[in-house]
Amino acid sequence: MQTDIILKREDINGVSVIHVGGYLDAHTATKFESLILELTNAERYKLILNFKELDYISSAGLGVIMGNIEEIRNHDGDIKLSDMGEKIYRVFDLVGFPSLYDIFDTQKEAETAFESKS
Amino acid sequence: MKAFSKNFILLLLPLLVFFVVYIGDTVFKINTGVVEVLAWLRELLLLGAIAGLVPLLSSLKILNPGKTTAKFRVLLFVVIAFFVVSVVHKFVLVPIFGTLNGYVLISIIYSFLSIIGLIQIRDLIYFKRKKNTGKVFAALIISISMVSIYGGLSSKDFQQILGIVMIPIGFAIFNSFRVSWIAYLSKSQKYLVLLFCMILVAGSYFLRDLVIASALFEYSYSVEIFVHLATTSISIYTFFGMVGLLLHLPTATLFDRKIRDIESLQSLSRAVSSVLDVSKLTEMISEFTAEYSNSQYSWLVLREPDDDEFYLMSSHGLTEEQQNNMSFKIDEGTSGLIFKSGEPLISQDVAREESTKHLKFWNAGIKSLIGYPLISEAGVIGILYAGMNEEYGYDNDDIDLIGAFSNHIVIALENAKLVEGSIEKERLEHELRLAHEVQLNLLPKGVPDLPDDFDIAAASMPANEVGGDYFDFIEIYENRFGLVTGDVSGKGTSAAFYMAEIKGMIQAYSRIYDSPRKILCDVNRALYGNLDSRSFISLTYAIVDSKKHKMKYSRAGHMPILRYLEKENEWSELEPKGIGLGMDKGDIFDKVIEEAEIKLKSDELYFFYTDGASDAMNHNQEEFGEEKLRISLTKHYHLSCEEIKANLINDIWKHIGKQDVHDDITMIIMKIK
Repeated sequence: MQTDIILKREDINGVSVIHVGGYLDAHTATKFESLILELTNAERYKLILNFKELDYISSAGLGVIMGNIEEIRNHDGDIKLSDMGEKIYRVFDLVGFPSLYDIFDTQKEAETAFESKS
Repeated sequence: MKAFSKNFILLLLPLLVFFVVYIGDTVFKINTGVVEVLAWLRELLLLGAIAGLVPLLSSLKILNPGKTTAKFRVLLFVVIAFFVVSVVHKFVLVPIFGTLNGYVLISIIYSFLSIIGLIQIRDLIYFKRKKNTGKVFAALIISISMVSIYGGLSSKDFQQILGIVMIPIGFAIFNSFRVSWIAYLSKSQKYLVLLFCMILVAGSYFLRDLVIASALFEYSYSVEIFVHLATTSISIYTFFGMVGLLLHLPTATLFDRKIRDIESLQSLSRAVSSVLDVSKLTEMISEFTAEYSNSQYSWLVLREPDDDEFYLMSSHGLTEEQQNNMSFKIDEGTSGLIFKSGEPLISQDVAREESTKHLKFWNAGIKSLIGYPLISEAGVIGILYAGMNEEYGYDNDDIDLIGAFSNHIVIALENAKLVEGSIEKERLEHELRLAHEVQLNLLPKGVPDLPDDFDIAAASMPANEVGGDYFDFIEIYENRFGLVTGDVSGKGTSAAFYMAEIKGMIQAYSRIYDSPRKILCDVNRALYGNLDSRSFISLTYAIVDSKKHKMKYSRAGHMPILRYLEKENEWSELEPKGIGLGMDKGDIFDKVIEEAEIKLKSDELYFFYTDGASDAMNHNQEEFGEEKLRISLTKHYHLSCEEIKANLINDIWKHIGKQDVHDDITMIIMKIK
């Protein structure tokens, strides 16, 4: 039974994409968070979270995004979300993320959004 | 006082016997041997009196010192006393008291001295007592006694029974191999005791002539033979002791070293077993290591099981610069070598040996180096280093000692961690119990009083001791009440306290505002900034008017309310827009959140829940899901809300099976008849 998280980082110019796959819950949230911290420590504040391969997300996973957004936005950066499956989108939608975060159908759109801003 | 009077009696009894014999000698002349039976009795009495001295002389502290050197001092005293007494005898006793009386006194004193001497020998033989030690020594004493009795009864002196005398002497030789005390003497003590032994051997050689010359047999054959055999035994034993010491002298330094090692290990283990603070412990370890291995430098590095480098925990003799220039990655340098092999690294010439050549940048003063891995079940958890400012500074014993140190250190460290862990665990458990109690008290004890056409039931089951779920009934006034279901993200103690906070806020705002939306907006503003930035609270608040049959509700990022219309057999989701509490400081929250109002009609069921109910997973990671929720609720719709609830929970349990419940399950079921 696959209940682990799969994280892949991809840097496209000034934007860093994290491909998040598998399970993002209380157990795997620390791994996810340390990757985000690694990026912010390297002063990379433009992040796209690509959730294409994500099977499950719990409130702890949402918490990691929320916990880092303020610092990232303070540095003129942002966390943009993309490629969510229907089920994953439902979780974000219920909690009200669409009002607070940019959510895109594709990673490309998210990249474009960063480009047009800068 | 008691001990004194006891000793006094112990002294008095043998002296009394000597006295009785003396009276017999002077008044009845039994010593002339005219009546043979009386002479026999006399000899036996005298031997008995000597034996009677043993309890007293072996209980007096001054004659029974614990230290080996002190025992030899007592032996020396015994031999010197023999000489002094014999001189006094010759020049004072005999001239003053006459031959007979002089012999009586000297016999008694010699007996005393012989017994004292034998006790010292006994204690030395017993130094390392084994199964047969007692038997072999007893054989010596019994044979001495038997031969003495034989001599006394057959009126023969020592010289006349030399053949038989060989038996106790044989036993004396046999006993003389038991000289294990030698090994425990330090080098200087060995020299001292050797000197004592030489004096004793020489002294007791002359003593033989002295005892013979004293013509003790004129007083008693058995006493004479006893004293003879006792002194001979002492001289044989001390002779063997002397030989043993001579043989041990070349290795005396080594023994000293070993004893020091043992002592240092003992003091280390004593110290480390009493210190449970890891940082103090590590501090102590590097100090100890430097001190006992004669190293100028010592340092200890440790790592947690997942780390890929060691961290410097404590050091001795290193400058700050040296400390800063050290690196302990597990895949490079000396630490890497030791980590990979699990073997100690010994470099007797740091600047030239392959394994340590690269260290020269920071190790200016360190010429020889030992690195010893600390190995526990988890592998190499640390390395103990010792360094010296000369080449070839360490011998095999130093290396062994540091090896033994590291074994102790592993145990002590694990110990300290265990204790630390169990204290922490106990504290957490206590905290959890407290939070659990707080949480139980937060949940309403029953359901509100409602008109007959309303039926309502609720349940909350935390997945762990303390969950993040919460529900509440708030009586606003007669026909209106509030219904809350909420979920604090994250679990444990903090969730319980957020829950308490939010319950208070909602209770308070419910009395001020009639609008769920307004209440949630205010709660959000009050909560934002007070909540951990990783946490949020999803919550649905509904105000039910049981008289007007209306319900107003708002949803702050929570699960929708499920509604079932029985007549139409139709399910729908009531899902006004909204954001979780604590996620936004208020501007967006206020703009987004909606409030809706619906009429409540007969034959309807409303289901408020947290995601724990719909997300409950089985072993295939399949969620129970909204679909199954609806099916279960529909199936049991005709029952009371309490029964519907029980059946639904049962269905959820069945789905989960033997899996752990991973989230709290909370629900409110409301039915309008």
